[in-house]
Amino acid sequence: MTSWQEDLLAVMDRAQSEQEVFCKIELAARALGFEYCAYGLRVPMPLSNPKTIFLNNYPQAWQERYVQKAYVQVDPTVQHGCRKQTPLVWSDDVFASAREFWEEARSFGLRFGWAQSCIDGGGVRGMLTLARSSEALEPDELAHGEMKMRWLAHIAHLILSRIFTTRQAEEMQPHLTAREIEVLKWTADGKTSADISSLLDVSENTVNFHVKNAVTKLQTTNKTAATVRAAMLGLLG
Amino acid sequence: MQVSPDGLLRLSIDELLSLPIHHLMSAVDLDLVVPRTAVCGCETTISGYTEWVSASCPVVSIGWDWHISLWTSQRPFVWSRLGQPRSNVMLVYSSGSDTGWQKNLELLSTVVDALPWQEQLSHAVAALLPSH
Repeated sequence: MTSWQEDLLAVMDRAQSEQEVFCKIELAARALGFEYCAYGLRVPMPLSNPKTIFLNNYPQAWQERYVQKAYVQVDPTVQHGCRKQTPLVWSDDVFASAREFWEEARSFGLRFGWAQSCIDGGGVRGMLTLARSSEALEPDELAHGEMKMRWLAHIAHLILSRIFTTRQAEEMQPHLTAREIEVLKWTADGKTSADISSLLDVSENTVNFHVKNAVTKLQTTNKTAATVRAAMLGLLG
Repeated sequence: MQVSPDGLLRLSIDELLSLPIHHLMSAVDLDLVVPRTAVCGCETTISGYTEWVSASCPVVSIGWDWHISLWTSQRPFVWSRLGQPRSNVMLVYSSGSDTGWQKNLELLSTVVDALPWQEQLSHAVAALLPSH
C-alpha cells in the first residue's frame, strides 16, 4: 500500500485536472487527521485582475455563505497568507477582527484549523487550509505532524500552480515567431525601437512591425503590456 | 534506522518528514569576484550554504546552497534554494526500492522547501553579516 505522499507524487507529473489533485489532497488531509481542506490559488495574470481559484470540501452551505457575504475580504487567514509564509493555527485571537465570520464558520463545523501559504518564482500564491470540527490542534500534534502539513502545502502548490500556469499558457497560444520574441527580449531590457533596429541590423519600421504583431498575438494594448505578459508566460526564455 | 553499506540512510518520505530536523550551521559566500564596495547603488547578491541535521542516531544530514534575490515592491527580497540539496539520505518507495539518484534529489528538494529554513536563516545570517 502506498503512502499519501507517494499518491501525491504520482500525480505530480501527469495530473491534468485540479479535481484529480484535490482528491489526493483530501486523502492526505484525512490521513493527517483533518476532515476538511481547502486550497486557494491566485495567478497574477492578468495583472489588473488576478485570477483566483478556490478548491475545498467545506459544507456546501458554508461555501455559498462565504461567497454571498464576500468573506474573502475579511477572512484573517487569507490576510495572513497574503503577507506571510509562516503557518497559522486558528484561534480566537486570529479571528478577533472578524467575530461574526468566526462564529459562523464554527457553526458549520470549521472549529479547529491550520493554514499555510506558498509563493513561487512566477508570483503564483497559494494557501492550504486544513480544518476539523473536533479536537483542538495541540502543540504536541504540531511538533510531530507540522512538517508533514508543511510538505503537503508545498507539494499541493507545486502541482496545482503548474496545472494552472500551463493551462493559461496554452489558452493564450500566442505562437510568437523567433524574431518577435527577440524584439520583446530587447524591449524587456529597456531598449527602444531605434536601439533594437541597430542591434538587429534592421529598420525601425521592421522592429515596430514585429512589436505590433506581438502586441496583437498576446492580446494586449501596447508593447509594455505585451512584454510583461510574454515574460510571465515564460516565453522570453 | 541503519546506515547501508553504501553509506546512505534509507528512509521513506513519511519517515523523513516525521524526523525533527534542526538548523546546524550556515555561512555566507564571500562576494570577492567583483569588488563593488566603491560603486554606490550597485546591485549585489548574498548567497551561502546551510546544513540541517536530525537529533536521531545515525544523524540525517541535509545541506543546500541558497541566495537572496530581489523581488517585487510588495516583497523586496526572497530567499531561494540554489540547486539541489546534498544529503546522506536515499528515499525509498513503500515497496522498499530506491527512488534513484535524480528522483531522490528532486524529492529531497521538496522536503527542503517545506522546512522553515528562510525564517531560521534570516536570523543566523544577520549575525554573520557586517553591521555597517
